[in-house]
Amino acid sequence: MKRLLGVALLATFIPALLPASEFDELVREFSRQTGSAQTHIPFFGIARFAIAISHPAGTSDLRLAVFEHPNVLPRDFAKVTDGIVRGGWNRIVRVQSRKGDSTNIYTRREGNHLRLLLATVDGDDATFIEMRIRPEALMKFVDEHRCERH
Amino acid sequence: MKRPFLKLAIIAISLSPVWAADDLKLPINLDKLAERATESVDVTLDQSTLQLASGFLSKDDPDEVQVKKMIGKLKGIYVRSFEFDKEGQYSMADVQALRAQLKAPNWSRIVGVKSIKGENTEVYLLKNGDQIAGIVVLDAEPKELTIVHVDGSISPEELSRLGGHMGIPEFSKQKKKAKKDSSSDAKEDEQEDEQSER
Repeated sequence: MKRLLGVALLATFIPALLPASEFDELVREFSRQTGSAQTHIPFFGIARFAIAISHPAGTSDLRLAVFEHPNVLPRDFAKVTDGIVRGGWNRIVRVQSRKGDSTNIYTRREGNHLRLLLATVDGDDATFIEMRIRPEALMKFVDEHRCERH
Repeated sequence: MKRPFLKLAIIAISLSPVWAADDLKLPINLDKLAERATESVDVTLDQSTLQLASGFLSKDDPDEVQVKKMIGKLKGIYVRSFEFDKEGQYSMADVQALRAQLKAPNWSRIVGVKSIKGENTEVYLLKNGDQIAGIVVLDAEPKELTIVHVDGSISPEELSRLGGHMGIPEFSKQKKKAKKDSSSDAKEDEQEDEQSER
């Protein structure tokens, strides 16, 4: 039981001890440009640990950053995101609504893996999600769980 | 001394229609439409992204090999879609700059559907000899405008092969399903009629 607790604690705090990744820099840059503070998500490290072990739908890493009430106008969100997402990312999807919702999906190859970055704002929250996925496994998962009725 | 430049100029002028045909540009005013739309969708899958996607397809699965071959011939897939809350938020003049590029001899309109409800659908093909080098679909409804541009060599048979891959439904299954649905709807209608007669 103690071992399990130790692993859980390590999984929770190890990400905080690691050097800042590209995702962290992106989140920091968004925070700096908009003056918004990132919302802490408790025990998210455990979720990352579980994903790193079980690889659900071919996902081997997941990063998440949430900003509540970000100081950015929804119509400016896409511009800000385009400005801070650099280094070989391709934007493949952009959905915007007049209500203030905006979803942007970027992708990048990393060896045998694909990195997906989702940046969304829904008026109250801005969310950044980065996933490292194995496309074959994801495609298989999508094909198997495809909704039959369209 | 002037002749090389003259030759270059002639080559450049003679090649320019080919470049123009390949280099289809979405009109700039479409971005302004996004401001008026309740929702706008912009999907951009350029050649590098398509290559990236095809790189993950299996070399052993014959279906995936076919899909990979097909994607390899594409230069890009672009979708722009706008939804409006009221009619008259856009006019055909807004897409005129695009339609002006879809002219003969390079482009030919193969489908044109108009309804009294104001729904217009047009399909244009870019031909390169016997090959199709591009497809543009323009779907204009009173509250919705969708433009799809498939840039590159593709045939309708090849398009149907994409079904069942990457979350795209299988076309044969959809057809069977549609038939099944229509027959079950007919049975339901008959039952309702019988009940109302009683």
